[in-house]
Amino acid sequence: MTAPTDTFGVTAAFDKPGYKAGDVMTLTISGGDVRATTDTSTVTATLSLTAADGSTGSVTAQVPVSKTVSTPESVVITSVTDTSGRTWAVAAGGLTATATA
Amino acid sequence: MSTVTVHLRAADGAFHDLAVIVPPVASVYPSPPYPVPYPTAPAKGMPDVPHAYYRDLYKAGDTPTAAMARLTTGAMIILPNDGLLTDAGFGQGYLSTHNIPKQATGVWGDGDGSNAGFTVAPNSITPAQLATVPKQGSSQPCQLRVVKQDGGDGVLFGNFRVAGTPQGVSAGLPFGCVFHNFTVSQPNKAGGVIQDVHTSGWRGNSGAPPGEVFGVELHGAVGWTFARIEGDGRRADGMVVGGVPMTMQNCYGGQWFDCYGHHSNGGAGAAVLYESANVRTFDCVWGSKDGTDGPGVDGKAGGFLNHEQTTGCEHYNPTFNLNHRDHNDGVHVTHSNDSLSRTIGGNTFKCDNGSLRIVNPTFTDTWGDGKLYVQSWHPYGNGDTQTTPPTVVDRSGQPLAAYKWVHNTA
Repeated sequence: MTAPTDTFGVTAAFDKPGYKAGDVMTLTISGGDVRATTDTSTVTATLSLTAADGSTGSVTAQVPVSKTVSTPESVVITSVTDTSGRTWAVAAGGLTATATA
Repeated sequence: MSTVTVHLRAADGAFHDLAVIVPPVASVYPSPPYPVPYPTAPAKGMPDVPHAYYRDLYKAGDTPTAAMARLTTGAMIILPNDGLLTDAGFGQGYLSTHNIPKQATGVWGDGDGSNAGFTVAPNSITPAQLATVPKQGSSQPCQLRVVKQDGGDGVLFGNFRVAGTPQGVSAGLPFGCVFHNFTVSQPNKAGGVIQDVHTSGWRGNSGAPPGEVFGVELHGAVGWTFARIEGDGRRADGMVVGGVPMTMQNCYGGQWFDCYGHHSNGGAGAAVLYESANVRTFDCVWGSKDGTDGPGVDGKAGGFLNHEQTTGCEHYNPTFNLNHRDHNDGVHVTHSNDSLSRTIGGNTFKCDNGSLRIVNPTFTDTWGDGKLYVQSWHPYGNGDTQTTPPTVVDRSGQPLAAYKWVHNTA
């Protein structure tokens, strides 16, 4: 099994196109993560053979196979970093965060 | 513009960071200095609207007015870009050189518009037309115009030039008689646009009618927009003869974007808002950018913005280039009110102590003290109601320290 990969398809949007100082700004995320797990293994394949004179035999071969399983995963906000110094609070459930403009 | 970084965690424990742009946050002192979002000017270029080419309307022998009058359906007239349409005198419509028919939804210059538009043949005014100009001091307006649409369906005029020429010189007027260049009056529809129009050489000689005339004027409209209009008071011979580059009069709720008025003459200012309310301007420049305004042929030029009987007007990032200082003619902004009340398109406003707000102005140090001067004076016979100083703030919304209100001073 190879290491799983995560692909985040998440967008975040503010609730207004602009704010006045003192307004509450709400940021909401939508979308999710897709976790892809690939299981690689080898199977033995046996091939039955028939010659022109009617005699028969067989050979075996080791064939590598892989199987990828994609699993949707929910995503939450853990924190928000704001270089302007605002303090952000993450709501219960982790889908929204708020700060004062 | 700032960004925040949103730290995410998936259910399986994977982490990811997402950068998000924060919307603009406006100051609240004394009020948000800028509208959010900041309005943008109409784009250049003709929109996809029904139109008719002037060249297809024209028949041999037509005056430009006669050709345009052949328009039978509501459509925009596309002007040729191979020379300004020319006629003699002011004999079309009501004292105009060119009359745009009411059914035209607008006029647009073909191509880049640099050689499309209207003019009047030099010195072609008739004695009878000249006699219609009232005597200065009468306060009666001049009615002569190079091009006009009156009471029409026009909603978009753009991408053309209007060039004034000397008129009445042989009648003893060394710099010519006064006239307006381009007028849209009493449009039938709200929300129209005049954009990318260059107006030059209209003759004005005073800060009051009839010598107070305009390069582009809009009367009696609701919610119209001026965008990138340039009014250059110089004539082709270089003389600074133009009156006021542009105006809205008896208008409600207009917007001006990136307009530029310069080389005005006669002390009437670079732009006038008259009996109007809630007009906002954005990034407009008044007075020449290269400091060459100087006096016009009448001895004084105006690089200022004049408000007469207005309220609710706001100017964002204006520039006032006022490189001269005369008695009663050296302030960056004038704002005067009596008790006028008007109803424009169902919108009623009163001018008593009308408000005016200026945000983040750039201005010349005209009086040597580094201050922006706003003057409220007493121009009307029925009183002066202006008791509240206009609001002038910097880009953060703080009161501008370098600002002086001069009230009721001649």
